Amino acid sequence: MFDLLFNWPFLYPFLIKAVIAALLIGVLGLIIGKLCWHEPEDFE
Amino acid sequence: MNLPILIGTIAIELIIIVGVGWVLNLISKKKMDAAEFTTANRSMPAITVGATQALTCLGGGHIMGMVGAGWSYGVGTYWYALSSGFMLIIMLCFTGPWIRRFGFTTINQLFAKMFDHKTSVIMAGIAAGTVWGILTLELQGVGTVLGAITGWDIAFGCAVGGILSLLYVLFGGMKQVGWVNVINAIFMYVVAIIAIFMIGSNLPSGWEGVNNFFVSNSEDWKLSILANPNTWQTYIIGTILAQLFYCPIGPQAAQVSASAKNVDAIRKSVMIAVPINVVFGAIMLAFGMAAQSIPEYAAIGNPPLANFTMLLNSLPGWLVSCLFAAFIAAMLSTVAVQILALATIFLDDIVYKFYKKDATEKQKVISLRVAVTVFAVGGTALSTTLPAIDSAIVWLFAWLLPAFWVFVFGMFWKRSSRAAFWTLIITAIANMIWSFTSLPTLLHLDGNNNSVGMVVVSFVVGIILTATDKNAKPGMIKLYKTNKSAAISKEYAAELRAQGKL
Repeated sequence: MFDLLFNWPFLYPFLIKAVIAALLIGVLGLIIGKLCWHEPEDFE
Repeated sequence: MNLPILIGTIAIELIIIVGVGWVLNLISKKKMDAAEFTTANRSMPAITVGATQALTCLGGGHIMGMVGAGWSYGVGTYWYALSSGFMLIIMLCFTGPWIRRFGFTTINQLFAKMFDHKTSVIMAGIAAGTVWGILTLELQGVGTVLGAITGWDIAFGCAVGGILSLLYVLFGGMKQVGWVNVINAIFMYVVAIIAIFMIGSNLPSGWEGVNNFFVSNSEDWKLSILANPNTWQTYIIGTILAQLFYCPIGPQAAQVSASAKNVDAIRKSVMIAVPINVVFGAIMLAFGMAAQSIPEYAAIGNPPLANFTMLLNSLPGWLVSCLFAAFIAAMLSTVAVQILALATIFLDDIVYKFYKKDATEKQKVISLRVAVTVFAVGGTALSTTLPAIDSAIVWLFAWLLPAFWVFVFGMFWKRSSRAAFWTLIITAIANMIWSFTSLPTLLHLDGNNNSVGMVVVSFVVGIILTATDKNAKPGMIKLYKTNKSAAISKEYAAELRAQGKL
């Protein structure tokens, strides 16, 4: 399990893990954005 | 010289830049004014905000710096790109929406409102210096790419890069930059994905050979995202801190957020910006480590140059032209927004505020174009005298770190002008001491670690000075909730009143 998560040999394991990590960060951003800015715009 | 590749690379770049400028000019119904040039009249949708924030924070650091650091730190270098993704969350879910909501264009204008003019001027100076440094480093990157293709001196490549960066921004301003970035982002990924799969079949022992190289040299830790303790100490921690707290408060990021149609567009752009920005780092890292594993390229000694040489020798000409055009586009997009931010800081926060308060719209547009040209030429002239990008870029990021804490305290806690001013000054002095003495060695923090020192100094100084200031005003969010018109910029308030929204 440790190896699967943290060892990133080239090419496919590296690329797949790199893309998944980036997408997870993006989803985290969407969730945080939704939680922090749920009120309607003040002036729009 | 690879003349066909050079012509192909520059032609692709020109077609995208000039083509977008031409189309925008055709569909634009009104004459260009200063607001259109600097903030696209606050009309940018999520797609252009996301692509521009992603590409503004994706340049020499990803394309040259990660390749260089990858030779020393292996896959652990990917933390540079990952931290860039987390930074985009802070930028697009916190600093960016607030800057847009308050209606400011530069971070210095916000600081003038939050604190005072003295703090704003100091902030303008630090921001301008940082932006100037980054744009010269990016131009150095463009020069290196062109140098690899042609064998030119890097200085000549920098000059060509300077001209291309001018074209990127000179005619259409922020709107042009936004749409060029959308097209460039798509183009970059298409060619980079084709290249990464094609190059595997052209490596002597394929990608398996790259893995075996590190294992047989007892460097298998270079294939782990956890790297080794030394890498965390000398590279990863400092890089994460610099990335997280510099870009969200950077003037270029503020200006792109200020150009968004509304807060919602900024918030939604996070899912566009993060993958575009982060995954490209993985592709560059794979290229760089492949070059290191082949003795012929490793012998070149300069990692980015070795990487470009490997790509030139291993891929078909058409793909190399496209790939190098993509690299140049990524760096030019950063240069373009940095130049625009620098020109806006110089004119809005200094010239129009203190010297020429009655400038007409026409004068403002002409001045913006002149300032953009002067900064591009100056940046080009200096770009070849700077140190290697991977070490210099993180060092530069650290200069703006105190501004992040000043912003956080002023938003959520109390607005202390004294604390903001002295936090910026004391941290700048600390950064000089850190950079020019052996203090980091004494603290066992050699390497990319001035950001560690600056985070600690600015956080501690900011807290102490803010807590002890009895004249501090309530935080900006509290002010906004009690009296919106007092918190937003004068220009934005006037605009909203004219529309009957305030």
